[in-house]
Amino acid sequence: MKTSRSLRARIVKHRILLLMVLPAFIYLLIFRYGPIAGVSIAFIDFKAKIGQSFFQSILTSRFVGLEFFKEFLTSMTGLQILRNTIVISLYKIVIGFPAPIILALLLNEVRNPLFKRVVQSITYLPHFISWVILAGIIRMMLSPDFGVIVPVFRFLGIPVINLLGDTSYFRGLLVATDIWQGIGWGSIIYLAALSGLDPQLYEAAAIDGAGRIRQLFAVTLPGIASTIVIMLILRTGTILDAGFDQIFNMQNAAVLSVSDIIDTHIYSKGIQEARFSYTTAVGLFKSVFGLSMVLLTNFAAKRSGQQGVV
Amino acid sequence: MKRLLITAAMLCLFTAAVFAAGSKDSGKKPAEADGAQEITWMIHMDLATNKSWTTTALPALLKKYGYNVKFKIIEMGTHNGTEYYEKLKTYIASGGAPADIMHLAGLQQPAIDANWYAEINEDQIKKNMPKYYANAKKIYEKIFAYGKDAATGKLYGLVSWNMFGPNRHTMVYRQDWLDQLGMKVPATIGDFEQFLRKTRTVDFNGNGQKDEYGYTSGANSPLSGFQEVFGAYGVMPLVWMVKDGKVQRGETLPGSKEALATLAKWYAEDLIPRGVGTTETRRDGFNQGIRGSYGQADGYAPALVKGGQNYEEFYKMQPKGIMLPAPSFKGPRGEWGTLEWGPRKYSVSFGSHLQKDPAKIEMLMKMLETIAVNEDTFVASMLGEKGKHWNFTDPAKSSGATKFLDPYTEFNKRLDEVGVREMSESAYGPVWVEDVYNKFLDPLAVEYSKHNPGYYDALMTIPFATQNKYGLDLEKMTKETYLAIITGKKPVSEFDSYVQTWMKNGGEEMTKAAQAFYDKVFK
Amino acid sequence: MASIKTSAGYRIFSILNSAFLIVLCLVTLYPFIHITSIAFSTYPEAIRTGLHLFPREVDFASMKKVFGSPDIWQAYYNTLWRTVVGTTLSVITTGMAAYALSKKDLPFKRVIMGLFLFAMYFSGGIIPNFLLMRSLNLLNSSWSMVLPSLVWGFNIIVMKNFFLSIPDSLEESAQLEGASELVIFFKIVVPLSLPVIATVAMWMGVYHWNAYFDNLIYITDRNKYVLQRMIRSLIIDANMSGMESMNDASILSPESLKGATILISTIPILLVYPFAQRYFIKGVMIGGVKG
Repeated sequence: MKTSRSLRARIVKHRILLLMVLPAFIYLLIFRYGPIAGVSIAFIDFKAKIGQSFFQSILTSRFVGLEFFKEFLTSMTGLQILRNTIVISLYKIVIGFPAPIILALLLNEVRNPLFKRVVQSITYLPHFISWVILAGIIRMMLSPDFGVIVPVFRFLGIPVINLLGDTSYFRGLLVATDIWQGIGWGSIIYLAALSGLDPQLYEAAAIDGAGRIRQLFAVTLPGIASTIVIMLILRTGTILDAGFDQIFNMQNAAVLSVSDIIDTHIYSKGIQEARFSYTTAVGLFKSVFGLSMVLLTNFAAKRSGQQGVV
Repeated sequence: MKRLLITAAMLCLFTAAVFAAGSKDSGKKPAEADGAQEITWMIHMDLATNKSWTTTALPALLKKYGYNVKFKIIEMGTHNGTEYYEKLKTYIASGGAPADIMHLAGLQQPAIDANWYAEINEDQIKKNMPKYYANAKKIYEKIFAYGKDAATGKLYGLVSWNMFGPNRHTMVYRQDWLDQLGMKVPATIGDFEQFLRKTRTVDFNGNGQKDEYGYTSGANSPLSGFQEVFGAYGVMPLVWMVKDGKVQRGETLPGSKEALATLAKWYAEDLIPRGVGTTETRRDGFNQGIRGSYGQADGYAPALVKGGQNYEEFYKMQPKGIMLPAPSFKGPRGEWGTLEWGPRKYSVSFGSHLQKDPAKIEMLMKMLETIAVNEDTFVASMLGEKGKHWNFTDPAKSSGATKFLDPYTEFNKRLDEVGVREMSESAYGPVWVEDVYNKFLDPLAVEYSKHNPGYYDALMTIPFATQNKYGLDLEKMTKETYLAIITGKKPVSEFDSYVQTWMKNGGEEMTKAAQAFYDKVFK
Repeated sequence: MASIKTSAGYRIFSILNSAFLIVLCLVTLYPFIHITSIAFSTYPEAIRTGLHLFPREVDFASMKKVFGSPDIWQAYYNTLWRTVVGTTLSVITTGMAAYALSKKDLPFKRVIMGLFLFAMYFSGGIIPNFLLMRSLNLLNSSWSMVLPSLVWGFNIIVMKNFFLSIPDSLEESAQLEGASELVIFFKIVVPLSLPVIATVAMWMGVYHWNAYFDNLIYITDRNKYVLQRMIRSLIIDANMSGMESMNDASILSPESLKGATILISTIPILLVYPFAQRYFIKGVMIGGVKG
């Protein structure tokens, strides 16, 4: 531990840097840590009363400890919802995480700058249409009665499958459409990283006799490795966010048992009863899990020599 | 690490304390200027705003009847139903105070918990609002159950109803299709099945595709869909039904199994669309000319007459088609009908700060009835100014169907500028008396609304604790199982094990609690 | 660009690559064509089933209605305001903080990073945030759109990582000449960091453009609504649950109106992209040291 005198000296030496952090830090305190005390309502049966401030209401509400967590996990669907959340999210990570990287690498190989720009612009677009619209279009296109897939099934000679209403296919549909929506947008950061790579490294590799493929593994991937690792670490933190907007809009009664996730569950409970405590409890559960995942993968990354997030 | 946690904790407490100090809500006293007494309101969906015409016009009219009042609305800032209640609940949870009068879609549990409401009693209502009271009792003896707190039984709300009656939905057919098939309106479920079969053989819209079906149920259909089929077997899934004093949930009754068997047969024989419950919608197919009927959930009587929404939509899309509202078909035991919303609509309550001022509550009750029994105030609160905002559909008449005039046909504009929504629902007219409102109903719509004996929830959909706990999960399981059986993924025999699972996972407990609730409140 | 040997294998790859990208583009483009077509369709044509590539019956009414609605333009302005102001403030504050945090001997560095990371995952929820806005007197204020999302831990991490890969030698030489850290940051580091700045600016910009929930909770005045909120209230009404909504002669706006409203909110993004992309094309990096 450094002595306080040398700490003070460091503060003085780096005072400008500290000043640069200051605005963000003040923001953090006021807007993030101020309200955090509200997380405590996960452990009480929060009941607001007129004329009482939020805090007084917290103090006068009954303490219930982990009751809501238990309620969630032991309910008929609690574990099913947890399973859906993790499974869908894992699919999305395992298939969906590499997809934008691959797209960025493919785009990087395009030599015609106009073509490259056009493809980039077009692939970004789905990211901007909200799932309210996209789900509607998908429903129309995949309708087993008059969707565009009907002729396809007829041609193949098999009875039409209702992809949207079939528990065996619905998750796959979610993952595929999600990837499609985000692939262009997700590739931006990797393209930015690729654009920062030094062309001389490629020349050096080529002179050493490396073909395109070897260059990919020797120069490109290591070059953007730190970006990939950071993105992956942060992505694991959202593992319990399986994609509310998409699932909420694409779900229907026939596939709830495979597609209901924590967030859609919270939403439907919330609409029914405005159970702030319960929803905060479930949200807290998500947060703890998410942060643990981040710390875990961060640790693993640092162990293998990468930069890490913290 | 330890330093980090301590720092974080202290920062939390510090900033939390800072804004805790500023967040206490002080009760506001209504300002009294120029002698007029200010009355604050909270209104479902901000159906009127502080800038609306009726917010000032109505008090002006009320002067005639001895009321010197000013209205002020505590707005949530949205005309969207879901958003309104989200914001209201946030408001309540932040310690917000109630208004004098609250006209909302039922007592909101968070508001009950926060002691928002003043307790009232039926004698009080009978004394101060005799006409309304008599009318309410006539509609449904137990109607005030909807205004009571399920847990304590205290009465907090005056209950309103739909002017078209507790039953107001009917089935709608493509008359021209029936004609073309040489059929009359199906009277029995067997006739209806015939209709479905024949429909599959004709290319009504001439596009060379066999895309027409006689009947469907949408992903956005209420509850489990196919209501009229279940109704034909004497049951209604996902509502509480009472037989001989015994309370049971419709979806577990044997009638539901029969209905499912019929529906599964129809699906297997390609008599109903493949996308039922998933990609189908309730009514769009009908408007697009590829479905031969729509279920009663959409057949809201006033929407089916000229000027009504469904009517206008359909004829815009199918100018050569003919739509026919008609009663639905009867099942093997002569049972028929569909889901209805039942007698209750909204509830009107008074803020708990008025509990110690019974004279004021009396005054407000009298005022509400005054608005309802006098034609000028009633019209101002429901429709607006004649000739400017609305008129009779036949301007020569002085009673009957009404319609809004441009530009007030636009929903948001009408709410913002005029402060009315439609007959049977507006901001300042939360309670009514039928001899006044009958004059403004379209007689044809009244006729249509008599088409249905109606199945409605025996407990008026009032939520109680056990239902809150298990209801949602059981409902999801029910819908999914039903669809699986109908589409053939599971056999009909699966129904029995479904009922067992239902019972075991809270269904039995819930039914017992429902019985207790029913006995206490409705018997 | 280094000269690359164009082997036959590479040429085949190029062709396949291009083909794949073209298919991807077509599949991706369809929803846009679909929406545009519907925006210009008559009502019956709009809800016709099947592919929509070009409206069979054209009607400009919906587009006219949307362009002529003062509500929409007001919402547009509100969205633009928050996007520009919010993004600019975010990028500046985040950038400065990330730069400082990338310096290994910054005092309290681990504490600060830890606090940011923790805050990424834990939040107080709707009510506490609402109360905070109220006690800061920011309810119904435009600043309630911008301040709560000023700095994201995620962005700090991404920017910090990028700054780490800038070689120290560049900054050291400037320091020797007596430049302060602020000057170094703005004069040397920023020009080298355009890719990451553009990326973060894009992320924040899109966030603000699509945001509606904070607007919903904190804003009551209709003239402060943002575009997405207007669009949602037009479209989502059909999703209302609960029996009360059944009697609603609800706001079922014509499909073409929905299409027009969506179009009007996505067009600016389509226009902005080509210009923003140039910042991604060439990073000006010398040395290419891995971070």
